[in-house]
Amino acid sequence: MTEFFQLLFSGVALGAVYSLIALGFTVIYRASRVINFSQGAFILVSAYVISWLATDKGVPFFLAVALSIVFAVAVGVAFQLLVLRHLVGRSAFVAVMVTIGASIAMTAAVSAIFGPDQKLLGDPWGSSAVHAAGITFTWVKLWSIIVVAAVLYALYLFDRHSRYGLAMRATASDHIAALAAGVPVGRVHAIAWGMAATLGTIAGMFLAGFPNSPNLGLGDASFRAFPAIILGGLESPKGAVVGGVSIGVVEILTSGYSPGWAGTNFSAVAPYIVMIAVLLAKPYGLFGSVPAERI
Amino acid sequence: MAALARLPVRPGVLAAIVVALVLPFGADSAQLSTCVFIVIAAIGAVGLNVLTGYTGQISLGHAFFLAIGAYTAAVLGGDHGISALIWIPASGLTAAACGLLVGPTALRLRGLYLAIVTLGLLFIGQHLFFNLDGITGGPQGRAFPAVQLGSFDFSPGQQLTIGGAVIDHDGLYYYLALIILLASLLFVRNLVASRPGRAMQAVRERELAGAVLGVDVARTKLMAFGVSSFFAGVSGALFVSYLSFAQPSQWDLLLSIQYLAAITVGGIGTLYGPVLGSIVVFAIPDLAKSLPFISDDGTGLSPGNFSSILYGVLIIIFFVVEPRGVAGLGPRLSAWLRRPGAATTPMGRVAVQSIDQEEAGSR
Amino acid sequence: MARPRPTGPILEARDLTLRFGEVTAFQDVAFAVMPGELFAVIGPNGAGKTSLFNVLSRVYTPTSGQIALDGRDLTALRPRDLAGAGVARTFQNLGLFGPLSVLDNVLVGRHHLMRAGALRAGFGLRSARAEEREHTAAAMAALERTGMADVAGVAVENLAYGDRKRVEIARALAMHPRLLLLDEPVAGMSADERVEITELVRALHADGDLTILLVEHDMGMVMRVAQRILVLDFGRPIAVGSPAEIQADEAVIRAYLGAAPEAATA
Ligand SMILES: Nc1ncnc2c1ncn2[C@@H]1O[C@H](COP(=O)(O)OP(=O)(O)O)[C@@H](O)[C@H]1O
Ligand SMILES: [Mg+2]
Repeated sequence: MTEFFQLLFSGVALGAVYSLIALGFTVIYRASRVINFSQGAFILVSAYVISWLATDKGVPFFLAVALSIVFAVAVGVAFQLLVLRHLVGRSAFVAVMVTIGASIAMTAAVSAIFGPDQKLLGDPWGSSAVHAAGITFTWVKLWSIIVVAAVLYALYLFDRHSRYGLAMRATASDHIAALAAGVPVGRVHAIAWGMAATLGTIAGMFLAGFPNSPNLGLGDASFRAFPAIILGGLESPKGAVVGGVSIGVVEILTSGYSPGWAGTNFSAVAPYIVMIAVLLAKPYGLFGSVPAERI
Repeated sequence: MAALARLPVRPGVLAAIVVALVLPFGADSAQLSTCVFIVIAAIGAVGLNVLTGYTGQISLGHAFFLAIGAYTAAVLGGDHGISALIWIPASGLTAAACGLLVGPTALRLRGLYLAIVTLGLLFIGQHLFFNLDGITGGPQGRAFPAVQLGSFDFSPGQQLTIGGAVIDHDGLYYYLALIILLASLLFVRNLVASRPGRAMQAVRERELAGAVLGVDVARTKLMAFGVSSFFAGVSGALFVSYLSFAQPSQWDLLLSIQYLAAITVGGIGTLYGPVLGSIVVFAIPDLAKSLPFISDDGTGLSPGNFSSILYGVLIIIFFVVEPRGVAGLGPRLSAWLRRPGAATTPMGRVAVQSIDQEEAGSR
Repeated sequence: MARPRPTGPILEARDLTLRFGEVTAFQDVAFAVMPGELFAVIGPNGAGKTSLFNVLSRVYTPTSGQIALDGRDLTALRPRDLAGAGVARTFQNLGLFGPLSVLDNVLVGRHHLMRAGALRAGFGLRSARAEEREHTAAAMAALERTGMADVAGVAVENLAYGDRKRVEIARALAMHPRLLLLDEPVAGMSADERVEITELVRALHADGDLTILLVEHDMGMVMRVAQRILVLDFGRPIAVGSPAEIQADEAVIRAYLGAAPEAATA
């Protein structure tokens, strides 16, 4: 039973990070109907920038995180302004391809600049932990859960009370009508990209924490957050968190209990199997509804 | 002029075919090897173009179908010693069957959801390939059979002398792949200009309007999946046969993305776009090796990183600047050359008249 | 291709209602269209006319009520079955495939009459090519009828709006329908084009077999061609009758604020 709760804790913590990534998808999707396939690259870049500042340049860790957020936001907003802005109104395929293009270019650039070896994150938590009832609660994981809760609350406040939150909801429901009503759609999109970049940086920080470290495979976590947004529906922040946590728990529990016949590393594909099973039953996710088409 | 007009292909295409036919005699071994990879990849890209280009369904799972073809070749040709005349089409058919199998899941989904599900298919497939040691050799990989036709095989060292011309191992694969590529292009050319091809494009443009006109949308998508997977399977089988060795890690997302890059850079939804795009995308890694700032030993930019950065940037540039890809550069260039002053083309019949007049003038 | 003409109504709606959540597109609509009739549906913007067409072409499923084609439940059909059942339509906002040529757009309308699958077409078998020739001829004939044959090779996205509408009508005709649904066929057209299309609709109807359901804001056209008219106002049917009856109907005049019918175009 202790083992189960240990795995459950790890699963929830991993799920919390998936939730951050999934929220990053949701924020952009809601504002611009784009699924950002470059979210993983933002995670990767951020983790390496934090590592470089904190371990090579001796910048205090949280300042390094803050600077990395600034950098990621700048890249995200620049990408929106320089590239995606010119593609508004084109098919979903175009945005998918362009964000994939950005993703492989950014990932290769990180590999070229920092080399293939893994790095040290330079975080203050390391492997430190509290122990209770036979379970090890590492501080990195505890903090990831706390931060996700805080981020979710902040997003909720933004959504309800900020003028841009309202603008974002308007843009999401009808882009053309929002433009006509004077909503600064371009700025709304840029803000969404900035928010997603911030979420990606925080996710990157936690993903690279103990027992992991900054390495070139870090961005792959974003692919495992896809099942999360499919489960939760692309548009619902709450769904992103529910989906993210479910996927994290499924992944960690299968890593602990998967039968031998399922093959090595089965836990990495378990989220996709869950996703496909769910989609067979509910083609638009657990919380999504069939989009009414107009003609 | 009259004789040219009667040909089934345009003069430019004919010239390209002639160049492709004599190419092995002007290329060194390394260059020819690059060309073999390009031609083999182009077969798979022509297939993906049917699904993504003409039918508008985004698939990130193309590498999965390439792998299915590859392992079909391994089992039939390698483990059972069956002739290439059987395993080449069988690779396509097995992949097509897999395409039809996963189709029903995919059909229920549109656009972005389909992209994510095909991504799941890719990862689940890779998991299977890593673990089905008996077929795939597990993580270490396995050997693949050379093409064997009767008593003659295409393995390294073999050569064929026709008249005075000597065709070596690379040349043999080159011509085999070229013949299959040309046949694929012919098939797709016929397909897209007929009932099923029009249905595919109707689904791409406006699914619902197509349905109201009597198009069976689900069936059309499934068919596109099948055709696309067939060409992927054939391409995958030829690829590993030429390489003679492959590991499960090769069937990864980057491979799928390279194919998507090939069709978008070449000109999505155009007949020859996938071929042009394959030349650009699949030649980059080999060309990169000869650049001064590229090195394999870790001191400079590695060819792999350089290629990835270039694919990524090319995809972005083409979508922003010339969505029709390389195939669109020709018309753009000729339009620019012909009427340097005309910034806007009048719409509708006026534009048509001018085309008619041009055609009349050139006769 | 003479089809047996059923004696009952070709199309019959009873208590038909369609809601989108809180929004009611139309409610309690009832009418019967006889074979060979030219029946018009009019009403201000947002009255629910296009939604009614969407129900008839199975894009939407009615919330309640019955709708029957040849006396059989229409909701049992899927959208793609309608072409085979002899129903063709045009779309108010155009349902054309932009990059495809005019001819290819019309040939999509022949889809349900053709047979070639991927293999026969891909291998270019003689049967597939013969079929292609035969249906191209039929498509060209439909294009002749709407005066668009000379631009058959042009991509639809390069045509002017009025010409696109003609292509849509040609495509619907090429489907060889018994029941033709026209959603605002002359909207956005010049005065000359309106006259031409009005004449075309009249001629199509005069040919005999075709039943036409027409939605149009151009009251001049409606009054000239329609045999009977259904008036919708905010989703409710307020009158059905001949053009003369409708022009004299109190409720209709009130719905249009007492203005001359022509002003309802705005
Ligand atoms: N898919 C849909 N979802 C929600 N509301 C719709 C939808 N389609 C139509 N409506 C609503 O139904 C009403 C009738 O619209 P419509 O049928 O287009 O009217 P008309 O063609 O008479 O102008 C309008 O209020 C419109 O907003
Ligand atoms: Mg309408």
